[in-house]
Amino acid sequence: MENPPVRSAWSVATTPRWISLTVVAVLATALCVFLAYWQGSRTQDILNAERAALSAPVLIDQALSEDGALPNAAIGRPVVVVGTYEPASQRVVSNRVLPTATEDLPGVWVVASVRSGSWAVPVLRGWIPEDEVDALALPEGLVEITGVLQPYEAFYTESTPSAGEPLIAITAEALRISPDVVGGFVVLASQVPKDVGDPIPVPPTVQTSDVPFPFQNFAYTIQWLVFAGVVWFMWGRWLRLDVLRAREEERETPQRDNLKT
Amino acid sequence: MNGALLRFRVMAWVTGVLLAVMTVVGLPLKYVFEATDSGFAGSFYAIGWQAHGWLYVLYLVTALDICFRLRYSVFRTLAVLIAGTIPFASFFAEHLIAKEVRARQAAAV
Repeated sequence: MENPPVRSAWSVATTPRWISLTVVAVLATALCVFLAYWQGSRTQDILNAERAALSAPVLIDQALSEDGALPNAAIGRPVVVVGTYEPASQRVVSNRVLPTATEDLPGVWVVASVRSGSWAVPVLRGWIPEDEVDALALPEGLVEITGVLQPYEAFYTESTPSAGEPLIAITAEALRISPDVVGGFVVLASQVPKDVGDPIPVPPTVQTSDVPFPFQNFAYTIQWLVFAGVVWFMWGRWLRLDVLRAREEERETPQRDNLKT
Repeated sequence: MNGALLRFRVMAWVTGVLLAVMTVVGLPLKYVFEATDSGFAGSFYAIGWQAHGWLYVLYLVTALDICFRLRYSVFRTLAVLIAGTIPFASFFAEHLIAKEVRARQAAAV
């Protein structure tokens, strides 16, 4: 009797069962690769931000994207803002402390909007004791501010602030005198000309320089790629088992047929 | 078979114990007591999860090995693999697989 043709791996792989398993494997791989890409770009963002934080100050227009949004890579970037404070734009963020070597001094943050070219830039001028707020005036005329670009405080938490603690984002809303307020704020480090009564500059809210290498994001990047590899390892292993099983059945089937007839 | 079983059992326990500790101790530390990133609690949290990530990769390798040797189906194998990511599930996977290996060895004698 003639031997039946040996069942090929291809004929097993194109059965409905294996086509659906392959589709699932492709989807799982796409998911793993997407997650690896996401963790990889997180790693890259953190490294870029650290590099940006250590770089020399640039004009704020160069750090922002063209529509005034704050790109991730510009978080923590030192910038220079040249412009004038917009009259009556000063707002107070209450319940903010000034960390000192010995204690945290209670007080408020002072935020104001600086008109710089086509943009309105919220600037965190600094900290003052609450009872000095009323006496604090906005500098008039052209100023040059050097500071650090920061995302609005709701950027990471997306939390709604409690009544006593408005966030910078809320203050920025209040500053939205014109629709061209930019996507982040500048934490003032120094200002020319300087005034004796100026608030005390505060450290940036998001520290991006001097951060450790993002091992966690980097490790997750590699692990997601390993998982993608595992998917195809499993796929190949089971396909081979099914091919062997199919060939075995083929070898047995003709004999059974003979017995029946 | 015994070597593969031992490797899987070790990884199931190591991964499972770390995952249990991170779930029972780590998560409350972070979300209830709000341990910050600096200091012992924050480092413990970060390092613990990173260690779990790599241990889980080793768990995957040993779990795949034992599941292939036992000729488990796709879905049974997936269940064993996923057990490494669910707190306490890897202990059950380890117990069931060890029992099955013993049963098969007893049947073969």
